[in-house]
Amino acid sequence: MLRRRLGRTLLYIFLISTSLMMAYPLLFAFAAGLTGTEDYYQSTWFPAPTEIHLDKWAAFLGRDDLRLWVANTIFRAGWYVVIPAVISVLCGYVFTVPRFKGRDAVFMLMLASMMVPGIVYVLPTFIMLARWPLVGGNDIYGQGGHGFINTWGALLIPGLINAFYIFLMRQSYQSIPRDYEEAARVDGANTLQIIWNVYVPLLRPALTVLVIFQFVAVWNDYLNPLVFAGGNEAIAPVALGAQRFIFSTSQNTRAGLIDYPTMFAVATLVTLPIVILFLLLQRYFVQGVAGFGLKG
Amino acid sequence: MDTYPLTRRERIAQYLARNRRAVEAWLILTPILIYYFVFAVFPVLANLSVSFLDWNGFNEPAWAGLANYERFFTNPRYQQVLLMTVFFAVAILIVNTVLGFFIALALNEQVKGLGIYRTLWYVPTLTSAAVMAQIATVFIAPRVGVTSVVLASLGLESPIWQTNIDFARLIIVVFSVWRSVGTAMLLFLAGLQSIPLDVIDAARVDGAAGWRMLRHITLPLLRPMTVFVLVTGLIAAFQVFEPVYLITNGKSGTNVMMLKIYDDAFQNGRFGMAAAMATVMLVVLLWASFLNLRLMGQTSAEQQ
Amino acid sequence: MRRINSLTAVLLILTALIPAAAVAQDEVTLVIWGEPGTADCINNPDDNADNAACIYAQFVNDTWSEANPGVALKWENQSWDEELRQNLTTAILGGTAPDITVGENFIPSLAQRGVLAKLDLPQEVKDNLVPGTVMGATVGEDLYGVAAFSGVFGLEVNADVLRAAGLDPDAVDLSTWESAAEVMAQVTEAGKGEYYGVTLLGSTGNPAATLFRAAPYIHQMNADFCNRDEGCTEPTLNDPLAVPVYEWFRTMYANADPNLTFHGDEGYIYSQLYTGASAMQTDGAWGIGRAEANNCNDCRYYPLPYPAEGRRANVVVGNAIYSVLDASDHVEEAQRFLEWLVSDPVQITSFWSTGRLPTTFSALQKVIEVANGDTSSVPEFYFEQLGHTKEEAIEFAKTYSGFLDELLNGEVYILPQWAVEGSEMNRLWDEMFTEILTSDRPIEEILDEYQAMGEEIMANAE
Repeated sequence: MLRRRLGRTLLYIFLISTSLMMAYPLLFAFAAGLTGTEDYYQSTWFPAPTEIHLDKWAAFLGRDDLRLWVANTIFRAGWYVVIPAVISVLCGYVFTVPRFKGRDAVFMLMLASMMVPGIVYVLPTFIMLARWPLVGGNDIYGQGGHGFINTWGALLIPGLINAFYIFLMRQSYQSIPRDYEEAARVDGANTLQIIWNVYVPLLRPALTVLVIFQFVAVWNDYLNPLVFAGGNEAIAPVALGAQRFIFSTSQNTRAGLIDYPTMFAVATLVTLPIVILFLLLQRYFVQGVAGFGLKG
Repeated sequence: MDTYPLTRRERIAQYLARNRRAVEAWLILTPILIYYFVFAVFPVLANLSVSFLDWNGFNEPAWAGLANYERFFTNPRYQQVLLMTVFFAVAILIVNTVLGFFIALALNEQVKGLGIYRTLWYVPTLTSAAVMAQIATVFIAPRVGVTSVVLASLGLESPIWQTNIDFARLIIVVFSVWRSVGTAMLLFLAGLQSIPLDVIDAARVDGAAGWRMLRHITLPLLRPMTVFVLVTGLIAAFQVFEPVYLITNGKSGTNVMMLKIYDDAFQNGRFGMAAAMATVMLVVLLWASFLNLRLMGQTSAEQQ
Repeated sequence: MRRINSLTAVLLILTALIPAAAVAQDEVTLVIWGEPGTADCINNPDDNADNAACIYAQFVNDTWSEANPGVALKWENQSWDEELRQNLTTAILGGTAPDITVGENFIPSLAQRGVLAKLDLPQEVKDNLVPGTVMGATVGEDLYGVAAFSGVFGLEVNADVLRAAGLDPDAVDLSTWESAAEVMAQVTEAGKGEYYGVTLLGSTGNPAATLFRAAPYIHQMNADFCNRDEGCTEPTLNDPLAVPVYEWFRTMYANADPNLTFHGDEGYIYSQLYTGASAMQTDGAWGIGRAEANNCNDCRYYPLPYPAEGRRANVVVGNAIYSVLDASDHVEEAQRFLEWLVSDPVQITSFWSTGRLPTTFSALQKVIEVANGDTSSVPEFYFEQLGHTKEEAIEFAKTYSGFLDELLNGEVYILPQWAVEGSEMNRLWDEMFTEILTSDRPIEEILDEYQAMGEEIMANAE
């Protein structure tokens, strides 16, 4: 019994210390954002503010276009949650339930795209979007205008299929007994009705994973908005806006003088929403993640 | 049954009725596949064809055959980059998997406040690369950076990453792990929690405990999850880019393939070379994932 | 190598190279990828209401629009440096490039690939440009851009630190390496680890930052990083003339706080002078504004010290070159805009609003006249909007006079414009510089070693 209690104590010491180490960089960023510039430079291993400075937070939160950046990001995140969710729920069904020739081959083909290094897509996608016929001033041959570049199209069209989620949905479908579907068929439901009424409720954990992963990806996405729509400030997301905010508050960008407390305040504020989202959805998320390890 | 010849329309109707599910499946799949070919397959093919060209982006492309690939495999600078990429991939993958597994194991011991620990370990994966790089740059600064302060308190000299290759590489691994180990932990934890309690109890009745329980019960049951962690972890670890680009910028012997591809394409205007490297990476990833799946499949077959 | 039929290769990518067909329009809009600060001022005026530097940006935008009703300007902030270059490459391939782009260190490599339009300026306008500011826009005899504003390096000195070390700031001689080294050594000795003789930038994530501060000294000895006549394809890292330069850097390193040199954050490193931790540093003209922001009591500015056996030389920095893209449908209007950017009113507004240096002889001359007491060329806004007095204007011009003189009379160079492998070569140089500072191996040996590596990189780049 004593041995067991000692074991538990050691376990907690281990867990608490390692968890604090993981959290330390973020706590550092959080505290640094509340610290006055002078205090910050005096601090050593932790920027403990002698007095809480909320002005850095206020400067970023008070920015007029912050609301626009947030709205843009949420809109785009919503799109990249809903469409991939629909696609992967449909594909997951198709690759699991009906039997037809070529099913597994098509599935493998789609799965292979998971191994493609992301950088491969940047240039071809840009050129396709820029030369898309009959949009953005382009003629039927795709010449003459800018296509989707610097428009919402460029930020909403590419990357809607993600093999990872199709794989995830397929795993989840496989764990659901077919009896439910059979019963619904007997009641006269068609395939789309069955997917929506029978499967989707049971896919909730996997869908939560999709929501969190996609939301985080879009929220943090800096490269795509910069390359595909960097010239249109009206559709800039938070990631781009935050970077530009830090840039413009640095007194002289060429000299690289960064105001660290401002930078960390922005970093904290930009990270907070996704942490909150994670906390809200945590329970389903963990259930959904469990689906990864089912035998495929 | 009457054997009067069916009209064309009737034959189609009959086929549709017989293969209703397959037709439905293809109706769903077709638009998705069209999109998939345009936005996922075509870029890969375009990349493949550019990899056989000598092209700076602005000139008339010239056919280069396998010259880009040959250069990649014979030029010492590229070899070093390849080697470094493999080193980072393996190091990050091993640390992530082992650390993630043991943390998950510890958390699975019915600890109080599980949600808090889990959150603390997972939240770093939610941060953006820019935030990670900002923190890293401040942490590794000599004298005033946290690393220095901690080392100094232990009576050690503070390393300077620009002059200390091992330290530079360690930083890349540490911050990559910081930002990705949470995923491995969460996956293993979910896997552990889905092991049915009666299996554990039965094993316990048979006298299994500690290491034997781990070796003979937990690990085999976790195999599918382990495969998943290894395959997705490998894909991510091979593509390590942001910590290198944003923290050391490839200096002090930390250059990796993704950064080299980026440099060759956007800074050096060598699109053929960049495309060839991307193709090599694609092949390596496909091969490694395939191998991984097969190895794990084999061992699980032996077990059964 | 065999040329291939473009149809069989990458059909889609090639179509992108066909220049976009001209669309007939009454009103011309010039899309400008501007220097980020300028673009931000124009697009977000509300956030920049009290930013004096925005007066320049607004002046450029408004004055041009009034005088040229048919030619509108659309400013875009497409970042700077590597990100800007990445976006530009992508946009050129996709056929969505702007009419005008800014750039600092990649204009020649784009010009050589035929991406930029040759600039056709009247001879008297051309002759008025300070050669160093357009060196980074010149290929052979051809000009591909003009610099909207520029900068050079000088020696920034915190006189209080000198006083603390028992020296008289008015009497010390900082004109040569030898005399400056002596002062540094005295300060370092007196500082006993509290403060140091000099601040040095060792190496950060950005190799160009370090290269910038080393290049002036390299040119003072008439050495170089590459053979520029050959289009910078041959590295000359082991130039024997460069050996004393690196010895000078070792001397400075011995008088610098070693932990600070490799701190890794440029901004932090250069702000230590204002806290009294260091007596001097190589800094750009922007240091003047920064010293003020950091409440430096008595910061002074001198030309860079130079070697007894060398000469005065400098490099341009923060040199914002604007170029016209060849694919633009409005090359003529765009060139007219560039010509206007280097006209006196724009150049003078830039200096008095942002403190960044003019790039033409005539504008430099006018600013120097202010330092000599003639304030007639100072724009109205300096007094009315910014509330300064004539005395302050004279004082302002005087503070900058060392920098202005360097542009007007000195030998001014640009960073090496490597034909290929620019980032790799700069990275290599940066590693070499670190090795020189932190090891005691003979400099010649290190230079030879890195020269061999550089040659290998360039040989394999063909």
